[in-house]
Amino acid sequence: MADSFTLPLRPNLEKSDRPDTLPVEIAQINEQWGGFRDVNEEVLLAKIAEEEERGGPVESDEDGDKKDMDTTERREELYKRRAEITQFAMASHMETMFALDFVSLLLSKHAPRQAETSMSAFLKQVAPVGSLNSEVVHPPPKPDSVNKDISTVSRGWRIQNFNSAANKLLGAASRLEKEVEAETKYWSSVLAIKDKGWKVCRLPRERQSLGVQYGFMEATPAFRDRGLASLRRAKDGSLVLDQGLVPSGSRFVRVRVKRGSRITGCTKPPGASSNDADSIEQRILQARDSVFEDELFHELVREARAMASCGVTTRQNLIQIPVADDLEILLDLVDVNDESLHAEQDSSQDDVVLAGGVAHSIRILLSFAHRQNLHRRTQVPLPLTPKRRPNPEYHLLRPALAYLQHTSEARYLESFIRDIVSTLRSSGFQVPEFTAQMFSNWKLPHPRPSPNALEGLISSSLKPIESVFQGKLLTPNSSFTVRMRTNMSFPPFGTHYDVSFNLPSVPDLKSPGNLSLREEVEAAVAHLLLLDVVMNISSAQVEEKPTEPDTPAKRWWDPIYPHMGELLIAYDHPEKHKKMRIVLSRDQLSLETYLVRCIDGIGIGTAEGRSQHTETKTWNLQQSLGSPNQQSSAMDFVIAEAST
Amino acid sequence: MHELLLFASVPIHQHAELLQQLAGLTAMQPRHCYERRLIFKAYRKPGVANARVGASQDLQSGDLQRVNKMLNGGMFYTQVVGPIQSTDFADPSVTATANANPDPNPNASPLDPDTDTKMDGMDSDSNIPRSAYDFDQQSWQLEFRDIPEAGTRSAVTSRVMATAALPRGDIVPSMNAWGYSFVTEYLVEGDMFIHNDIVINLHRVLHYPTIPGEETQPRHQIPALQQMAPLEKSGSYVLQASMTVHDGSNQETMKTASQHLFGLREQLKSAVRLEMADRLSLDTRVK
Amino acid sequence: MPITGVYFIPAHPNASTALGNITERLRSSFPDEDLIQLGRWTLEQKLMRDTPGLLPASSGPNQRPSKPRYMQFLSLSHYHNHGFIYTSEPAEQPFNIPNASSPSPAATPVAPGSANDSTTTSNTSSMLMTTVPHSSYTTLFQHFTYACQPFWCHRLTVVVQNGVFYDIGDFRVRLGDVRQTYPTNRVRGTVVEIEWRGPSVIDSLDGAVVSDVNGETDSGVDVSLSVLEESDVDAEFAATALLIREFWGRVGVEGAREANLVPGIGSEVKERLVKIKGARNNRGGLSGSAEDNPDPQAGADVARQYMEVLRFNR
Repeated sequence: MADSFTLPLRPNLEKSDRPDTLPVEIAQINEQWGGFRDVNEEVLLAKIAEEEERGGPVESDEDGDKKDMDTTERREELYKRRAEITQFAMASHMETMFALDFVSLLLSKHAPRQAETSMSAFLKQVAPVGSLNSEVVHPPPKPDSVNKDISTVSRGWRIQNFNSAANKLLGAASRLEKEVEAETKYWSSVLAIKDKGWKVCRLPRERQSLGVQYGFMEATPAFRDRGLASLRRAKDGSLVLDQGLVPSGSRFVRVRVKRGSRITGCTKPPGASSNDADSIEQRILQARDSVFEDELFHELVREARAMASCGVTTRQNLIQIPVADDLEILLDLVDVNDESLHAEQDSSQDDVVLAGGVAHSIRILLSFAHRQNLHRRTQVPLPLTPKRRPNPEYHLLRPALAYLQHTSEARYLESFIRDIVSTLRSSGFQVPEFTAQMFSNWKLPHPRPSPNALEGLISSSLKPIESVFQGKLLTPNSSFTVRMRTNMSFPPFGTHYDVSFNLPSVPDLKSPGNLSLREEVEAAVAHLLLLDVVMNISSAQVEEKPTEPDTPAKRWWDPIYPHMGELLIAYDHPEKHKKMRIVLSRDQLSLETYLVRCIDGIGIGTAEGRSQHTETKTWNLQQSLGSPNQQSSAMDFVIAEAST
Repeated sequence: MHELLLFASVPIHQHAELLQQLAGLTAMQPRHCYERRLIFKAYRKPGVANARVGASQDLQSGDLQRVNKMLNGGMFYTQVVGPIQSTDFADPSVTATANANPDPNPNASPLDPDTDTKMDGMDSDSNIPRSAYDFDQQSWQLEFRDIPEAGTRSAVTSRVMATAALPRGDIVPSMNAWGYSFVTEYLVEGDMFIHNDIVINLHRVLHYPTIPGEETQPRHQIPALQQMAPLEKSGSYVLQASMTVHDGSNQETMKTASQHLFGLREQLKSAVRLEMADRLSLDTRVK
Repeated sequence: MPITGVYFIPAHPNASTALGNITERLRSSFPDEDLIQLGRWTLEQKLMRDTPGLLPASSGPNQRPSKPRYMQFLSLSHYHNHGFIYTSEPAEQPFNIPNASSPSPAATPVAPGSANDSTTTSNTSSMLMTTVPHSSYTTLFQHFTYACQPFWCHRLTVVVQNGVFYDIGDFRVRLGDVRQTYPTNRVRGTVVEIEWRGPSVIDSLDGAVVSDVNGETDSGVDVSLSVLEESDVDAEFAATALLIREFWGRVGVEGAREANLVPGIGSEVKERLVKIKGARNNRGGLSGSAEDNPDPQAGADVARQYMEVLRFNR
């Protein structure tokens, strides 16, 4: 109630300016002296004397009288006064008794038995019961002037009272009107909120006020409870969103992409979607976004701590995730309105997209985790046990990290294979095209839309990611397959490669199986291609023989150490053999022929007794970009070398 | 495992409202479910229980006492519960034909595979006499409930319970071999809610329409839902709030569980009065 | 479902078992094979008896001595999805089935082709096999000890804790020492399971069911199945049993108790055959594609064999 209003029920009493009445005085004495018992002459005299001694001439005429009177006189005076008091008491008692008798006599006409009890004996003797009657008599008419005065006065009083009553009522009416207006405004805005689809409910701890639920039911309890704010009414009826102690500014999780020491991509704060940023709807939305972002960051930190083994570091308000190579992702929770965020960085478009992608994926995954929570919550619970169930971290960063790592590893492997194949092509080998199936285990859900299709899609992205590289080799019926899997959700973490070969011409070749370093895969693939080239050269003999009729069958390259890339042509001379050494790397293929002098030419290293006479031919990756016909092909070189 | 329970009776007119209240309380949509409940009774060879036992050389007297004590131990009714779908009920529009041509004992007939194939043929003719219910694929679980513990001072019903999944299909031969015989069956329909650790069931018992000769076996087909009659004629429901506790001897968890139930009772106070059940009304012992 | 044979070599309570001997014999009998231990396996069997059967037989003239009834709980680590319960058929029909003696159709309650085919089973054996999900295995055992005391009494528990297995040719051999852990600790002997892993008609059945579930039925398999009869299954079992016996003969360990063609063996296979043949006319994908346990009856045969040899009478 803003101001209380009271209606005058009785006229104001006039203040009496009479001196203190006896009861007041008695009360005063009681207060001052503590009852009459303690007040006797000596005390009073002592008091007076004391006061006199203090020098204050408390002279009063009464004192003067007392001094004048002697003891007997004073006693007489006292008796006289006492008699007076007694007389007064007697007189009042008499009058009371008379009044009682009178009233009793008057009543005895109507209620004789009752009245008799209060009659004095004397009255009973002198007056018979019921001998007095009463009648209403009309007073004599007052003079007009008096009547007029009275009516004027009373009219004046009435008018005055009506005026004040009217003022009070008008005040109350306008106050009510304002109140109604405010309430209408409040309730219409509450209804507007409700019509927008927000859940409006009573506050659990404050039953008389309304609240709006904007948070996420399936969030961690701390954040779930923050998703409820009370809708308070301001003085003017406007709606105030009262979030309690929660800071009201809006924050968001910023994703930055860092390459080396430069920030090359950053997500922008979500702009205000509507121009009336101060509307209650906007404030609810902002509150919802804030609680979501707060929870997101909370969960990110929780997950990041569990990912410390992957090199993720957390500081107070920053998560640093090394992804691959020099790529790093930084996550922090910042204020939307922080001006310093808008400082321009030297950003690249790709990395802005990457940052946006990460930002979106962690939000989608948090929403997915919420749905999973709902799903879990509505299952029949396990029996109650004393031990608390663990609260596992959500998968937010891990899938994103797995994707980024996988993409990076897969691109690297793809470029490596493409390069090495191009190198081979530049030397004239017709290596068949290889195929790369990226994310081969990600299948699109059924085209038929179902409520769980979305969840199925997301949960498939939580599984280990798999890509397959397949290709055929030069040697017929031979092939290689590299299957790479990246897994961040459960051990073993990281990217693992399953490399398998099918090269029947090398009988004792075993596939390397599981590898976990990209260098090992590189080496394995390069080695396989080297073996393939060696086998191809050695087997080309069959095709070449008819075209080169002079070449004897035995004078052809024999793969003595295929794993070293070494082939040999054995001459008749026991200490003079021609050896070819093939070196294949990502961007270079070199064929080197030289004569060896050791017996049978089977020694390797220094034991082979190598001569200085070497012929070397190299093909580089860059050359393949030009026309390969400019240079002679490797096979030409091989044939030429074999025939000389 | 132990089970702690509170019950309330819900008249039919309150049912819809209570469903909404529970949905609000638990923040989930009601999960409508139908359960077939087969009642099995433990049986014992007649005459064995009170057989006089003479002196024995094979068994030591302690052993003999133990065996005798076991022989006089309690025996129980137990339930085998199988969830079914609303689509498992027969189509009411065509049950008339099914009733018009009733098979006296369709399940025990040795020619059953033939009737199966005949039915399938009719399936393709889109003239479905029965639902797609497949008894052989019906999943079951054994639900054993002991008589509620006596003399507990807390105001909840608590009892020993065990639940075990059983193989699909016809469970009667296994149950017979294990010492249980089929008594009868009924159907429970209702809605389930989960409130933290508490399972809230708002359900009622439905009776099958009686067809003579069907009582000795669990039904292989489910009649139309419309033909089922509620056990309680007024159609009222039972609200059951239950919690399971892994280790019933752990006083701390038992206390926590009953406090959770009391919390729910308090929250639902304005709607229903949850209270413990009469112990003897939940007696599962074979007399 | 592979075809197996189980052998049990009993041992004296305090003597050493035949395990070392068998391993040695395996090594010497198959010199061409590397005897490489491929892994470990475990077994647990709990034996229950009918409580009335424990009373002395001479308890009264009016009581004829009844055949003992058993309930055996078996869990094998190589079929970890489910446990096996092997129960004697009830001595008499439960009281509520009327006219159990009359040959009315009601007395054979279950239609052939249902999941637990009691009619065919009871014709061939007096024991009934039930497979239950592993989570239920312990619960059911506890239930029977708690609530069924008047008719079931836990007698023994035997375990194989550290079994090993080898691949020898087309056979897989599992070996392990059987120890009794309840009521007292003692050595029981050694158990050997020989599994034929070579080609078998029965394997094609597994494939048929799988392809059926996927809805891409291979017509070639269908044709081969249509000529497959129950007698063929029996013949297959008999032939494989011979192979297993021959293998065991080469090992040449004396005094073994054999469980090979135990009663009721292969009934799940036959059942499946019936089911597949029926399913051809039936709608596909029927056998529960959402089932967490792909084959809830796998290993029932080997479980039977184990339970035959491990059914000790004290």
